[in-house]
Amino acid sequence: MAAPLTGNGASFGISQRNAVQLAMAEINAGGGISGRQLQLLVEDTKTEPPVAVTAVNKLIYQDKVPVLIGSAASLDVPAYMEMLEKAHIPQILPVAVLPKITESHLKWTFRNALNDKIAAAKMAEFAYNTLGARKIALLIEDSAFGSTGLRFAERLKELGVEPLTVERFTRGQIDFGPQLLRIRSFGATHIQFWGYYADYAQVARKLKELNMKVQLMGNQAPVTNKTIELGGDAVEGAINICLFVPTSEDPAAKAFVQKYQTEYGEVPDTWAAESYDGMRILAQALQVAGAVDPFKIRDALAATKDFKGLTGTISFNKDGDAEFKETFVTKIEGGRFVPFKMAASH
Amino acid sequence: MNTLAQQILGGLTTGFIYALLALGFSLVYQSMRLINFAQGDLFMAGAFIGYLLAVKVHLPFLPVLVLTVTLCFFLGLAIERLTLAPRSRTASGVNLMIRTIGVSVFLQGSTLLLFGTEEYRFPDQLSGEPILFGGLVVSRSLVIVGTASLALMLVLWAFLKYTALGTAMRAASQDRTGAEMIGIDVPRTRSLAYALSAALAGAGGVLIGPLWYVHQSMGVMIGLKGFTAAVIGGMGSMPGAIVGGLCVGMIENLSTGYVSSTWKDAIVFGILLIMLSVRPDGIFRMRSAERA
Repeated sequence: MAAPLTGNGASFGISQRNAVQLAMAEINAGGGISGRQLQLLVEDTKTEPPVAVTAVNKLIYQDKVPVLIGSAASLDVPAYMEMLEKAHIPQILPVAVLPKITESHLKWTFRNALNDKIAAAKMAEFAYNTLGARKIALLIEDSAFGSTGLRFAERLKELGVEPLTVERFTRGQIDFGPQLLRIRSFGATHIQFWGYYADYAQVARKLKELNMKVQLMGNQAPVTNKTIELGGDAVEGAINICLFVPTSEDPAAKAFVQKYQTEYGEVPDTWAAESYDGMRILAQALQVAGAVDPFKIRDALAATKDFKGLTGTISFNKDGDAEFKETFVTKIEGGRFVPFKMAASH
Repeated sequence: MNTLAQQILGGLTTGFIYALLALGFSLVYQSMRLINFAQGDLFMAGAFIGYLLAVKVHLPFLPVLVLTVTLCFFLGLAIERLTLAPRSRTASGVNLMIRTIGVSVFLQGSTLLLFGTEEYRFPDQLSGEPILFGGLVVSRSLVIVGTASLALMLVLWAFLKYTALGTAMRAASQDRTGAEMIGIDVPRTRSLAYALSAALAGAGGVLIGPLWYVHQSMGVMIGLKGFTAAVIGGMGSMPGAIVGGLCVGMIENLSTGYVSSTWKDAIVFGILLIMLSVRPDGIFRMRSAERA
């Protein structure tokens, strides 16, 4: 496994490592795969793409691993993913959401995280179908990351609603007044945000200050306790797309949260749940493959269908992206992320 | 029309912060003929000091502001004594400027070690219902930032104008040799100028805290904006720094609201370039500053 254990992505990487270790210990305690125990080798990518390349190189050519659990840091992955294609080593990616990864027509990469573009489309369906929103404004970060949010506008148009306006902002902006006042002048009732958590909290605070009563909706990135710390009561009621929240009532989720908490002394986040699922999808593929053969493991991963995980019912599409039957949406209530569940969108 | 007025009003809040930084730039420039590249980082240091006082010591807003300004004053004093004063008489302007870059890197680096790159929430000690004024939302933050900034500016002005030390500072900045001949301790006035500019930056940091969040690289862009404000107003001019700061804040908000946020910084720094080539002395021309 390659994971960003230090650097900017450390919080993701540590969740990834903890959850994979937890899942692997359970699998090994249950007799392993066809009687063989699994072994985990971990390399730190330091959230630096060149280090990720070295780490993956070492795992493939020196340690000769048959399969890789890929880095949780989105920008690490493009640096090494072509290498896996050449080396014929399959990878499962549990956390990285960058759309570009699966747009490269890779044959050896499978992602059980929620591709940010798919998330944008799902959020549009949620806003249109479940919330019945028709007057929606977009507020997106002016970057490649934020532009993923434009998929929301596309999907919304397909559903028959034109977004009122698309406003852009720069990361770390102090005053969101200019954009929000424009949005107000269009009479929007819902704002779909795409960006970084600190800006999300700033937007919520400015909405409160301007006394604007609109529903704030966001991407996956703000689903972190930092949002609540920075936004305080201003973020109450905000809605985000997210694969897993620890307050879920689902028995499997509850059991996972409890085990994780006993082991590591903290509540698991969505990245931990996704990593746990990733490891279990991989174990299922190893079982199906029946041999430690990268080609067979790849085929078994590709054939994954309706895997029931903590984060939903997962099948891989031809790009190697997970298609989820459900859409999980979370709402901030009483200073916590709680599930805002809806039925399947199709 | 309502939206336009609201946009302008919004720009004033950040404008006051830029003005405080611009004042610091001007003060140091006037006394030391120096562009202080650490100005933005002193602002960041002030924000963190204020954050610690508010969160760890649980002080209310006013003591936080006063204490931070005082602590930043002494921080500035120490920085000037330790890094800028030694051999300053024979050092070239470039040499001193590079020393301030060193200070800037040092401040950012030590904050990184202590706090990492995370954002921290500054407690909202003053939040309350915004004031409605004929359809306009006047945020409390604007009232507080504006009042506090104006009060600090007034104190500074009175100090420079009516105290012996302030007069000595002005004299030393106009004619160093002449000032020394009549017995003014010029190195001391230089330290004082640097310490005052650090105090102003620290005040900016505390005032912006509740509106934004506190993080390690927060001073970089704001420092540049403060510098732009000082140039637009006229480097070395006190009223110029204030007008320049408010202008930059409003230009920023108007370009975000009516052009695009992508162009916001390009427009502000474009104006900086135009000012430098067309009217390098700024809106308020310096009177005696360059005669020394």
